[in-house]
Amino acid sequence: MKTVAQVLRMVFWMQPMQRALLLFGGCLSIGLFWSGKAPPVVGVLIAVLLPVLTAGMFLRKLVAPRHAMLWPHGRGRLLVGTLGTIVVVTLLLVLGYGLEFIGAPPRYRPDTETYAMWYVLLFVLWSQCTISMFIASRSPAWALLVLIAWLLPGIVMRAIGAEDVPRLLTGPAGIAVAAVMWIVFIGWFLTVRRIGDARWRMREGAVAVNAQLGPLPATREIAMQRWLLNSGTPLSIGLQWAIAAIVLVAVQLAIPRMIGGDSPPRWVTAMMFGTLSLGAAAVGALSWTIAKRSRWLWLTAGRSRPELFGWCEQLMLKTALAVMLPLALLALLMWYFLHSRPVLPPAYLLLAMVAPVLAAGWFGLMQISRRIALDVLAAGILVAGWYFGLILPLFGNRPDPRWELVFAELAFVVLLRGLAYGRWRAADWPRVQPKPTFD
Amino acid sequence: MASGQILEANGLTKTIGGHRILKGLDFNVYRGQVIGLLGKNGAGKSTLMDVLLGFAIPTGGSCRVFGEDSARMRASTKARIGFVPQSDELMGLMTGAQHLALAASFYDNWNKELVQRLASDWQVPLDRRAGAMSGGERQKLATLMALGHRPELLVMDEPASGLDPVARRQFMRTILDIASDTSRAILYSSHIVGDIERTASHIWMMREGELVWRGELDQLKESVVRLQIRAAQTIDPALKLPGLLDLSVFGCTATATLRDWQPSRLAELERLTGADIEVEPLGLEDIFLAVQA
Repeated sequence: MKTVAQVLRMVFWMQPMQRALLLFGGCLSIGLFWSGKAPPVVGVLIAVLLPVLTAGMFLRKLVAPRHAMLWPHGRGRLLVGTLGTIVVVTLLLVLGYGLEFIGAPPRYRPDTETYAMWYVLLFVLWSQCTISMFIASRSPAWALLVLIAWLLPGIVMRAIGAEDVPRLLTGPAGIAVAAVMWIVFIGWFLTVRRIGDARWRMREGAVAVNAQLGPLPATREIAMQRWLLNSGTPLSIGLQWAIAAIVLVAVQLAIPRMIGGDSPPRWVTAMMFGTLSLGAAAVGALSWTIAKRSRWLWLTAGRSRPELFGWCEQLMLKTALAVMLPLALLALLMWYFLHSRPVLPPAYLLLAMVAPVLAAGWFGLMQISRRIALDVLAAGILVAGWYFGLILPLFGNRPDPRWELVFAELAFVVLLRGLAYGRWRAADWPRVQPKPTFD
Repeated sequence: MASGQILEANGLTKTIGGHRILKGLDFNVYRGQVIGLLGKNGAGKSTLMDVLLGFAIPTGGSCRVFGEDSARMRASTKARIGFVPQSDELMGLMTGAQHLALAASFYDNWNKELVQRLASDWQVPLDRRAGAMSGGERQKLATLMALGHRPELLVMDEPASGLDPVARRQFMRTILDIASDTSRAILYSSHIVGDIERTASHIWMMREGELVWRGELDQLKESVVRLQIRAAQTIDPALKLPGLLDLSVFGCTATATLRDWQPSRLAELERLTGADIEVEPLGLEDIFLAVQA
């Protein structure tokens, strides 16, 4: 029990972000319960978002070290702890669902069977999510495999001519699939000798060696770029993201067709364009990495701080262009050949997609040093701008461009750039800490 | 299993990618022993520890820990072992206190007072995330996680390499405290020969996957000596001496390092070479260099 409690604490309460989301979601669900403006379960969903997404990754991080192999019943206990997380998350969501019906006339209240059905369905879904995240956290290749595995049952059922596939997948067949998945997973998990650690990021040492001994003649600029981009180039990073975007868009296109559902094309289109806008997250993460790694270039780059900032900024913009150009091309292909056209005007769509990318880019560069309150505020504005400026209008029923929001976002971009420049100029270089690693 | 025996290996072999990393090792570890494992980089020290603790399966031979096959240890046996890896494998996002709380949750006999005392003595910032700790602090934290349940067998792979001299001295003092309890055994590797010389009761020297020396430290120091030879005539550079590890000849004088030395051999050697011979004891570092040469 002690280990289960530790895992629960770790998944729900370890990081400030977890605590903030948990408290915010809890307060929101209570507020929604009293106001009745939206189902309280929305607040619960926000509260449990991180545990749902990270339980699988935490499990890998906890069992991968060698000393964990010597913990008595270590894997079993950690697995039970992770299962406990799924149980708690599911329970909270079902309770959140039930809150909506408190005070409702008895005939509108869900019966025990409905609650049980929700519980089972959510348990199955979170199980799949947790196991998938465990596998996907190993490496990008495994993540792709997981994506395919998620689609496989639908493909198989479609191939064998099963009717009403969506109902089957959320019914007994879905439960059976989840049960088999757990049995196979537990069998493997408890018997395999070593479980590998996450390999999404190249090791620091390997990057340093590659920066010096890469295949190309290493001019100072090339070496600096290799170091800042984890041995990548803007082109290779753009290519990786293009492939990822193509896969994701293809999956989104394929899902409704495979499971035989008749999802409205507008909804699918909005989802696909929303996915493309996630390029902003990629650019933000890359520029964050650039900022954190730049400290090692202070002495070796032979540049003053503003010069180094300018050089890193250029690199960020080149990378952003390399990430966004293929995505824009993909959007054009979808527009003309698949006739997937959002209801928004193209000019608005372009600006609404570019603004978060630039904002994320300079927000990442700002991370050369931290001001927690300001950073959280900036991140909040960034996400809100992306959500209200792009996602909401995309999923809206009629053209409803919010030009004022997009222009405000662009002004925000200029502000972020100024903040980033100011921080670089004032950076106390020796004190800048490298980004903490999971390794 | 003999009384007091904790570890036993017979013909232990490990091959990785076609390379024989461990070449048929035979050894025993008994309670009360503090074994310092010495060897150059790539000698097979870390692989040996991996195999001993069941992290890797031996290619040949057998390895038993507390009488059980190391690759199939029961939970109760694992609970008697502590391990400090060469590179700490901590989670950067977790604080020191969270790491310790997690480790403590696996053991019924976790000694919270001991851990708190050591954390205070070693100045481990338990409220800080592991990712924000220095290398030495992370290493100390990893060691605390291995000590909290008072293991009967403590295996450490270069545990003090990232510590400053003060911290290293404190750390070694703790090792000596643990070693004073004769019901426990410690096996640790280090490149800091001075530390091993101060703390170990037994020395294992590894070279290219083989244990080239295994025995008590005092016995090792007595058996490996340096001879200063002064002769009336020029000394033959190809001079053959039993147990010769190293020979440097400078005309009528020579320096020879010998293993398996016994004081009774001095008179015989002087008679054979017709020279005056002076015997010098060697420090562990010199012995290590001579044996590895």
